Amino acid sequence: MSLLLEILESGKMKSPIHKLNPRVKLVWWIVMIILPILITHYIYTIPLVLLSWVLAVVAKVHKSLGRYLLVTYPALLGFIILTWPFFYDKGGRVIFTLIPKWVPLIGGKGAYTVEGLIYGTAMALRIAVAVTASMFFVLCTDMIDLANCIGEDFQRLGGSYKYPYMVVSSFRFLPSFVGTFGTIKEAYLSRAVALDKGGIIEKGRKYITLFVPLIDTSLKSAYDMTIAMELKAFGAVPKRTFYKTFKMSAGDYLFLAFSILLLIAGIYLRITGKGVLPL
Amino acid sequence: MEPAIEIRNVTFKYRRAEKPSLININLTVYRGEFIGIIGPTGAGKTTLCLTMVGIVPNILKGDFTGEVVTAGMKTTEHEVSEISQKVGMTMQDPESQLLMPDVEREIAFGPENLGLPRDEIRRRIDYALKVVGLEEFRSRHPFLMSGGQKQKVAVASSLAMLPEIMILDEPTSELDPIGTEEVFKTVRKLKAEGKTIVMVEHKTELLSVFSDRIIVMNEGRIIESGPTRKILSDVELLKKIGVDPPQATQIAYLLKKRGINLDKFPLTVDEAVEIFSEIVKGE
Amino acid sequence: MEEIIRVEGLWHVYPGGVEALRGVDLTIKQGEFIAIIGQNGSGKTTLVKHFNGLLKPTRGKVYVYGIDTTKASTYELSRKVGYVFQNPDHQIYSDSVYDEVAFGPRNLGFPEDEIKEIVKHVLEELELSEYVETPPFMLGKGLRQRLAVASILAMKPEVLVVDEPTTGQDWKECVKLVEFMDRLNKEGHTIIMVTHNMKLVSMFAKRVIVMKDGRILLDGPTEEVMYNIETLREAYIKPPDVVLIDYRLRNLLDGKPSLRVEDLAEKIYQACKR
Repeated sequence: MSLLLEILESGKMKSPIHKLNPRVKLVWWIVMIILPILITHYIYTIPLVLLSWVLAVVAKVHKSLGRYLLVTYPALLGFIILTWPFFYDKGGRVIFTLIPKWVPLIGGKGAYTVEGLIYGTAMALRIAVAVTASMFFVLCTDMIDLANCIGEDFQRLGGSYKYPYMVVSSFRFLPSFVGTFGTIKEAYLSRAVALDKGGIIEKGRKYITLFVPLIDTSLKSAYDMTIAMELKAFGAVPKRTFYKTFKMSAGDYLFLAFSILLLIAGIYLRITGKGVLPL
Repeated sequence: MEPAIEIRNVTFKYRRAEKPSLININLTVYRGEFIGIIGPTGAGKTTLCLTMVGIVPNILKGDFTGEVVTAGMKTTEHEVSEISQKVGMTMQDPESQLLMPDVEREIAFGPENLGLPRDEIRRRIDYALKVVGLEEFRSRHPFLMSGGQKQKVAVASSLAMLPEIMILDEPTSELDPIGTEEVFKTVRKLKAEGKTIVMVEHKTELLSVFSDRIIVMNEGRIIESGPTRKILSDVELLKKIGVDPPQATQIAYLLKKRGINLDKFPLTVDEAVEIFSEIVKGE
Repeated sequence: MEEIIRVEGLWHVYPGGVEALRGVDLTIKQGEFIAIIGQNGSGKTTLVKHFNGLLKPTRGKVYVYGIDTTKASTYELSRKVGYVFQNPDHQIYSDSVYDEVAFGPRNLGFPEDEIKEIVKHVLEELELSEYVETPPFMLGKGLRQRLAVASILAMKPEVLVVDEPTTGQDWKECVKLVEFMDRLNKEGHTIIMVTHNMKLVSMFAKRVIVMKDGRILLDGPTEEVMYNIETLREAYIKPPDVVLIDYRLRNLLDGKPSLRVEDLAEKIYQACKR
């Protein structure tokens, strides 16, 4: 619930990162998603993960980031490190095998090798780059500001502001989604649904039933929101005013240049093969 | 008196509904009036409001017959985005109609859509905040505000469109007594500015103080309409359809049934105290 | 009468620092009909969520039927304390009214033939029998609220906590619902109602607790609390018109302070006949 509040108040914080133009942060985020696709070697992915953390400290959101990733890192990354190596079959130094060697015919299959472990870890790190950057992006960018910028740019380029604006500003639903989900969970608990008991599958099934009323109420809210937007003449004129403008400052251009440089470096490393893990 | 909203012979059935929500509605709302609409759930009150602003039948489609002219515009011949420049509407649930993460941007949203210049938008934000009394809440996130404050933000954001007509659909349903009073006081200020007000409400005690005329709806029809005092004094009718008349009026009704003569039914506490102390002292 | 809920020095602080409850002491006995009133943010909902374990105390203790709520789960407490939420749509998910009402008892492990009986009885009580096969989303708001109450009642709790039963309903539906709760109360159930509606409070509740800023400001029989007009104003509460009229006419009328329209009408009639 308090993480929710932090996401809500994300636009209000005062840090050099928060003050950056949302477009610039968006570009940075896109770059941080592309880079781990290009680069696989941990020598480069580790610093990229650290980059997000350093920026988080500058933006003073490192505590929130930590709280969220405290759960995500072990779950997601642990899962990958545990399972991925089984799919890697070029390894030499075997640690253990799923199926013991003495089993006839299929003995020795499902090998977990040292090379597989390295491969799995490198994979996990690539995902970590994207996940960390994404969470950081959401914590220090106001989605409505972003919707404003994108809408304004589309309009300036001669297109319609409607769809990009609507898509991005639907993020405004996130906090109410979370809040409603919390209430629904309480309602279910009150009807003797033991949400904390049972294995993963059983728990999963229970949680899925929570989605029915959630989607129901969310659709209703979406419907009301559409009517509310109509009542405020959304789409009335082709050239909408954007009250809050986001001009590009020197600092914005610097950060943008930095992101682009990272991207170029990534492409270079890919082409020359230096960024690829030799496994 | 000039008409603000004219509804002639309107019948409307939502596309997927079995029965019509509005049956043969005829109603004229005059400029500067404060109209209250009362009736049980399902009477068609919200649908009637949506019809006034053109959402029915332009956005919510169905079988629509009849004619609605709002602020001089025939609703079937104009876009809702045009009509909403003259008519502001707030809906029952404050959460889903607050679109922005702070009050200032919420109020700016409407004027932005009209393509108005930035300093005009700022002027309208200042005006709207002043009317509802939320000047200090300019950068507050609506989610972190109380129900009454949220409703005021909804009113403010409609106000920024500078509408001539304001339609409020159960603006106090989720509010505590004080929040309710705040909303009513705000609406009274709007009436003082010459706006035409249409309000759907259950709280008859408050309507009795503020409204000029009351429309009673039941099962899609208008079954009664007239001056506030006349309608709210008809205790039997209101109770029959499931609306709670003001308690003062109910007491008078019971007294009259037992033979006590009253020439006027009180609607408010002050009127009740005056009238009842007279009959007690007089007899 | 047996004491069933005891609250001792209850503090509840939400993560983020908001002190919703600042030292609440309270006992509730079997068979009471209590209304908890107060402004938004006064702590009403926070307080009642402790009664079925949805919230645990930050400081202090809450005992429900002798059980320390920090040592019990909502699953266990829901057998004794039923909680009806404000918005019925937050819990409805089944395809039919029958399944919706059977959901709770099924989770509690009641045998299927017993469930059949319970559902039939509860639907009759709440006048929902004709809708037994209907999908819940096709019912109107008032009926869905009744359905929510039915689905909690089917769990056979002794205590019923209802949070804002009047949201989104017209007067007739509200009265019907609270009258039903009154019938349950006469059968021995304990009712705790959180509401803004002063009319319903004065008509049905026997005891009223007024909250302000996380503390109990007033706690007593309905007539006493409702007529404590000055203190109520501190809590931003206005009693219903009946109370205000009676209060201002008190020098002219004999008899107990009225809480209902009929009572005040009777008092005035008697005063006229003198």
